[in-house]
Amino acid sequence: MILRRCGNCGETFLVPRVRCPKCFGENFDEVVVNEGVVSDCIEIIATPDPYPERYFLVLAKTVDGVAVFCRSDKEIARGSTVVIEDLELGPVCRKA
Amino acid sequence: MSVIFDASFSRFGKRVEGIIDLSAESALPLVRKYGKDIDFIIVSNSYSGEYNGISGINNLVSTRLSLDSIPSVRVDNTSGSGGSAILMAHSMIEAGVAQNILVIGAEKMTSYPTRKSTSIIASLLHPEERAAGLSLPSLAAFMTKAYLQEFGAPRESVARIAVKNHHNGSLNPYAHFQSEVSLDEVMNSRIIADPLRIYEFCPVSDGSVSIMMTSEENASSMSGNYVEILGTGAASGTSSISARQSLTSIESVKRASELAFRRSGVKPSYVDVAELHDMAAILEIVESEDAGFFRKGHGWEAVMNGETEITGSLPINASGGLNSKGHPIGASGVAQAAEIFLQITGGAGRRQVKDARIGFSLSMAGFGNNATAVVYGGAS
Repeated sequence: MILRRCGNCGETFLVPRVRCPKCFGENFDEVVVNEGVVSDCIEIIATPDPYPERYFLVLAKTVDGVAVFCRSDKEIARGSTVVIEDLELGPVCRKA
Repeated sequence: MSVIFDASFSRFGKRVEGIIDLSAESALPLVRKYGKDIDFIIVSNSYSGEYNGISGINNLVSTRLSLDSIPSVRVDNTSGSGGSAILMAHSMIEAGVAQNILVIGAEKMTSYPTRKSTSIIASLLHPEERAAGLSLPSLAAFMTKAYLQEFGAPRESVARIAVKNHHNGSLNPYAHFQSEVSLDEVMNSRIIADPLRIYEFCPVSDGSVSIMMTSEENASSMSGNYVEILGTGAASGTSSISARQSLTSIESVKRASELAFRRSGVKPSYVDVAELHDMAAILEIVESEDAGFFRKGHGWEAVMNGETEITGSLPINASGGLNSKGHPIGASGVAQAAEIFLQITGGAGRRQVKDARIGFSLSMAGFGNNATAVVYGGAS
């Protein structure tokens, strides 16, 4: 998963922007993250196309404190560390 | 000051008619009465391209109504389109750009399976966040878990929203669902996004609603009954869910409501009847706090105490809300305004709130990407 870090103030975020939301700087570095700590996890049964018919959605915080979402086929407890991997159908995670 | 002086509904639900016929169904009774005076048409609609393969719906509808030469525009702001349409009509009347505006809210959504529909609606999320398989119902599930934990609210308090709103919907002849559900039925219904169950979400609906708006000066010559728009507020929050500070509060709702109340000179405690955006049951509780009706973390107590029922001190979603009345996306915000018009003018039938003088509506786009709040009052 790729985050963006502002080259001026260090603010880090997931959704691309052309200006930093904190200092309005315009230079960014890409930061690859593959780990996070689970804040919450829910099971979703009515899912959107083209995703599987049932899965868990994990809300995790990266080491930079950025909240990210990933999919899991198993429930993962709050506080667990997860490994995040980008697949063709979006980011998935598993317990580290 | 602008006013609403008439309203017309189509039945919400699974309808066989196409989007243009549905739009005309609610608009026609108003066009018959005021057609020669209408000088602008606003069509609130978000997904005619995705669901119906139609663009420029405003002109297709105006021709269907034989109002070909009347200027028109389509307002698309996802689930908040209706609130934005009211805001736009209000602003145009205040600015003297138009005198008598026909506002039509319409959506036709039931032609696709639910999974496809869920995917279309999720397209309002950023691709980087949506990629994980996020949907609007899943965000409501995260919000519910966070709310119950943060404020120690019982699970039942959220389910009671569905019980209340289905009861209200059973009193509304235009509602998608017209039957009551018990607390047990809600709590044991199919899980959609844990912990929320199917009765705690709005259905996928077709439908349209139309209202007429004009200036206060013109109102008395148009109709006997009208309701003034006392104040409006529009606000945006970040559309990046991962960038939000809280899962239990919606910044755009707070700021839009504050603005609307400040501009109207009305306090939340003066409101007699409110329509909130209960796409998921938890949203009614969170919005009732963010709008200023209850202290943060105490909205669930008002539900448990019956304060938000039709006979309570602050009836919320007397129409049945999105939860029971249905949520044809472009129609919903216009339907909220139409419901408040009926309530304040005493035309709400079996769901009439006693002595309703001041009303409030909250139309929300996405999962709080932006919101429009409107305060109503001053009925003739």
